[in-house]
Amino acid sequence: MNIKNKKWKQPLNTGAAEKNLSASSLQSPSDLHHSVKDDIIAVLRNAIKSLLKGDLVALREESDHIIHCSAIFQRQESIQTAVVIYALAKILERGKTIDAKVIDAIEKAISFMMVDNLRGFNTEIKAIYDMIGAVDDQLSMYMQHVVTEAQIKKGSRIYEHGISLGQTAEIFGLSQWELMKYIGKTRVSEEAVDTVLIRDRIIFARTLFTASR
Amino acid sequence: MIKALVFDTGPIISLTINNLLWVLESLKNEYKGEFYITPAVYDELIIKPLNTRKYKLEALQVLPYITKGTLKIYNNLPMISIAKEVADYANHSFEIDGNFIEIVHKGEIEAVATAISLQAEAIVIDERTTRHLIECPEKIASHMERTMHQKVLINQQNLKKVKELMGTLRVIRSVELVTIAYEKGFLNRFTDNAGSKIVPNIKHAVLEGALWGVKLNGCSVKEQEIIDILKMEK
Repeated sequence: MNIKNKKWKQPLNTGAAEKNLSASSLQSPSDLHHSVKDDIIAVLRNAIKSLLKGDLVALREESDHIIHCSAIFQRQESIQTAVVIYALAKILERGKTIDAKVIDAIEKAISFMMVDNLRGFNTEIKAIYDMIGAVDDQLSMYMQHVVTEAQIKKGSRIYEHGISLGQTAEIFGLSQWELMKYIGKTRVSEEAVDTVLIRDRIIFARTLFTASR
Repeated sequence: MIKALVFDTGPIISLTINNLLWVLESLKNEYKGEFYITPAVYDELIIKPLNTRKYKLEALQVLPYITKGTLKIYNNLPMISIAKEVADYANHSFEIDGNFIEIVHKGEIEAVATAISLQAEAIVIDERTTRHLIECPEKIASHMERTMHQKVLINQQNLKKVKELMGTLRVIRSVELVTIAYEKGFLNRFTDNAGSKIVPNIKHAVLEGALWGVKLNGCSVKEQEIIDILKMEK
């Protein structure tokens, strides 16, 4: 989701961000903002501690923490980290144990991230997904896959932060059907600011469907 | 302005899940204009779920409304370039720590661009952020500041451009469609004499059920707004 260098129909006013082009429009997909990198490393380190202690609450908190960063930068690395940690929390919640290989993979992911090896990082995250998938198949073929559940949950948090439903669905590779069903049952709508009064909306809607027009 | 409404994905999803999609035909007969969707909306409603198990049946319920022409697909080059322009300006309007936040996806902006390009009477959209972008884009910044606890800078020039592109575009949601359907008597099919003996004030109960149904399936509407609609319709 990085902003690529594009030719605009009219020149965009990039304002203060022009002074920091490397952080925005000219950033290559392989470059991570330092705060994203630091966040991922910190969160993964804390996740290992929480996994070893079996601390579900702490795990979920780490996942929420990195979602905040994901809303701003919308990098797949931070999004995948949030989803993976949440998914691991769900596995623990269902009474399964976490294989030591998962901890190894997280440690390797941290090492790769520290040296800016995003390919290596993504490989380790994928390996963790595969291990989660193997556990999930054992639970029940009809049970919603923990990864999808994690994606929907984390997606709703991004939506809560103000990112549109379509953009959120795109970031997480979800369908809007799934997201809407989940978001509708949260209190996200209650946090929306009022723009047009409901009475005025209904009056306008009536004018559209009045036969005499 | 032409007699057309452009639909985003959300209202069609919330009507389908609530078994209210049939309302679109009755509303269209009443409206005497066109109901449009864009290729991106078609993709989200039909193509993507047909490749999964989970919402395949729902997609197949929507499909006849497209093949019969209740919802027509609108696709033309001016719309594509307007969509790109709107999305680019919108996604360069809000900054946190020197980084522009990509708040909308180009695909969903296609519906907005189509409504602008056609000079449609309104866009039907349930999704909150795009609705705020059309009606009051500054609210997006204040919402983000509240939820992210960080200062959001508004690029006023780009935001001004967004507002210019939006023009006087109006928004309605699936809750408003359901309310109009109720006022026109289209929901009376659920209120026969036998039912009214079991459920007091059954017509009002149907309206309440339908409004909560679309809210709980993703329409961005507040509980207080539903209460206010029910008071208006007493």
